[in-house]
Amino acid sequence: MLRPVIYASCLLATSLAFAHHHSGDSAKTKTAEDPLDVLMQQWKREGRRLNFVADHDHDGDSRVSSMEFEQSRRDRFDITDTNDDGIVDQQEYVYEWEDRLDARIEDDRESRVNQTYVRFEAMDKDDDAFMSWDEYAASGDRIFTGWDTNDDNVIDANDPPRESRWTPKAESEMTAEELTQRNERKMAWARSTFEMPTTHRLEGVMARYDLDENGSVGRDEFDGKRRADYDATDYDGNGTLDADEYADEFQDRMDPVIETYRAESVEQSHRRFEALDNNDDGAMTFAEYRESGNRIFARYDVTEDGYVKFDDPLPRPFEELANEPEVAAANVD
Amino acid sequence: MSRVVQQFLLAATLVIGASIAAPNALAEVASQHYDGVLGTSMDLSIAGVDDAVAEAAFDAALTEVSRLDVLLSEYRSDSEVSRLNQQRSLTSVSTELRELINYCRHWESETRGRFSCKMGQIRDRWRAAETSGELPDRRELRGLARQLRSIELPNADTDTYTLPQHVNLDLGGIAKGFIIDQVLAAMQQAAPTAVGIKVDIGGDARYHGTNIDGEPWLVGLSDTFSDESAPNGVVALRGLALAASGHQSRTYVVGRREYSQILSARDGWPTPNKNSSYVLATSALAADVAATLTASADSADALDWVSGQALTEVLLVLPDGRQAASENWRSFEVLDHDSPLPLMTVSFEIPEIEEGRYRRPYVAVWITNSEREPIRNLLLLGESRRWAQENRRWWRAVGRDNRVLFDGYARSTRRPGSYTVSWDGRDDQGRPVEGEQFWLHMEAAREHGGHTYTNVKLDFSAPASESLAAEGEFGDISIRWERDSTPSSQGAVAATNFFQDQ
Repeated sequence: MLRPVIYASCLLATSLAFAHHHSGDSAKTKTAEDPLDVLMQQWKREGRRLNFVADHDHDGDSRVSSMEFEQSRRDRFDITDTNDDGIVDQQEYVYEWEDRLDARIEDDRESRVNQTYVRFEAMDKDDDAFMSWDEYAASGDRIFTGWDTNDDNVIDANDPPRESRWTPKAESEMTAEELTQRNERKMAWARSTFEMPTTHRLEGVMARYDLDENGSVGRDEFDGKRRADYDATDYDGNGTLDADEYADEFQDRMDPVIETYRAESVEQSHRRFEALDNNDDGAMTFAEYRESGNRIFARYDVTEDGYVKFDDPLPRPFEELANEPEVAAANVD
Repeated sequence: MSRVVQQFLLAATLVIGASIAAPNALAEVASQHYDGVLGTSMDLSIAGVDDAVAEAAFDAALTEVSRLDVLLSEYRSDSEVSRLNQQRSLTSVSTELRELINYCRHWESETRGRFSCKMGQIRDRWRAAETSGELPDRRELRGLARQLRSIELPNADTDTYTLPQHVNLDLGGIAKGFIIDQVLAAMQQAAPTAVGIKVDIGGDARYHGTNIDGEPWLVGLSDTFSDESAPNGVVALRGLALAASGHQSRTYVVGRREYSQILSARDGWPTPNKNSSYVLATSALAADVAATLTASADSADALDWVSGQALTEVLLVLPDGRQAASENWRSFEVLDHDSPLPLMTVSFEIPEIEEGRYRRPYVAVWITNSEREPIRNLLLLGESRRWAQENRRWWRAVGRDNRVLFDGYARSTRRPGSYTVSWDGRDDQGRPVEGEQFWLHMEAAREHGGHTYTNVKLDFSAPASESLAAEGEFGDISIRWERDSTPSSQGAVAATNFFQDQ
């Protein structure tokens, strides 16, 4: 596991990020971008680099040399080459990816399910282990009024952006322990897989409640959908929801999302293999794999000193690489 | 499930039931090993009878296993249970199947539906998945499981039995224990003068009577891949059943992957094992059911459940090696340790505090040695890592280096009320502690509320008690401590010989 010294050394970079985030009135001028989204993207990028160093820093000096990284690539290549013939074919490559992907998906899935039980407990205000319609409706009311910022009983484009409900503590004000926690969250966030629509975002509200897809959600439309959802979640039809029913309904929505995410991700791993297999012979040699490793390292080693460190500037966002499949392929780790 | 847990489970394939007899007793205990019994192996031992009677008892055991296999096997399409599943109704159902169905009803109710014999259809989906290589649809299985949970299995008091719609019997979680109990009965009948009988099928076993000369059966709890003979201890048993779960159980192989055959009654999906679990109970059937359940539950929930079951004890070994034992488990354990262990009980109140937005406090109770090194976590209430850190002393001393505590140890904060917590003189790994002086630490903190920390020095050179008046988040606290004064069990005597002879 990482030592606290690592976390302390990234204090500077992250507090700069927060300074950027808190400066100006970005929420008002850039309505399309929720400041929290911007922040989460930033955390994801920082998390990726934290993971990079944590995964490849074999000698524990809080930085990754090109030699250390090459050793990691060699190890990964050998693990992937299950029949030990010195080359990785497409099937071996995809299988290895699937194994890691499925472990991550399963972790994410489990933690999402656990969260539904926590949510249930929070919504079950009278602690009787059932969520009555009133308790469910109260939660709906908070969602609706939270987004209907101009109080006209319609959630639509006329609503001014709402205040962020959660302002993260600035990292410059954090103790070493808090910073460790924060960085663990970033690392977990960077490794997280599928995303579920959430009513914490406007798209999530629209996707679930804008039944006629006219870009606005009226109070009646909203309440009607809440009632229908409540009734559909009451699988045993006894007029109230228990925690299992509540969690089941969530899982019934989550599992198709996972299925789609997984299929796309596996499909992408095929495309990555093809990009990595330079000479298109269906067999990736370690030389080809190392070449892609060099590109990954070069991307992270922004200062070009042969080491990836926590206080290096962040590399180009991964998202910008989408149209460069070879670079993207090399950076998926 | 984390990868760490998975690796642990792979490495910790448990073999129990290796009965360890004192060397000078071997001649008086006849034993037989059989392969290919119920898809696994069977080990029988019998003490205190001559060879002819022993042979007769072994024959009776084999006959009984075959007879029950014909009734209960789910791998035979002509077994009685398979015919019931196919025909939905049978007119002359055997006493054994009826008895087993009623046990299913009993355990389903005892476990509030977490144990189920109604999962036949779901099991069939998994078997089909093995053939097709495609995983079953998770939503569909969940829907099916939900439907099954709402259906009650009818009682089987008469010899005509009709299955409710959608229900196919799956006796996989209960039949083996039942058969062990029946085999023991058959051997007792064939050898009524036997002083002791062991029936072990695939690692679950029943230990009837005594080994020889009134000595209990000594059973090592071990890992196959471990060099140690019994890293999880030795128990002395007399007329009890012991089952283990959390080892690499049978799996469904779908495509390249393996999935546990223990399916959750909640959603029909394979249950990841969270712990290795050893259970003592008065029947192999009860031990089998309880071991399966406790292996897949959070340790705190598992202990809570076992404490509500009569004559049932459990030892859980968590993935990081920590042990959690039910109240009386340790009294069956054979200790290779001379001096009596420290015992401590602390009772305390969490008072109701009148505040607008009252939240339940996060509570940590732990023991350190005289060097103030943490050696045992006794209680951790509250599941949120973020808020548990408000217990600052605990967090610095224990929590930040033991993140896994939250996965296997923490339990929901209960309402204000009375709590009693005991310490059995062991560290987190179940090892007896050495030394005379220890510290008890108690800390409670509330979100947006107060914080209270207190500690008490426990000197075990003499029995003592201490009371602390209510302060902050804690109400009155009373603590008693002494050395364990219960005499060592007869098992311990035999074990001493055994350990010396090695």
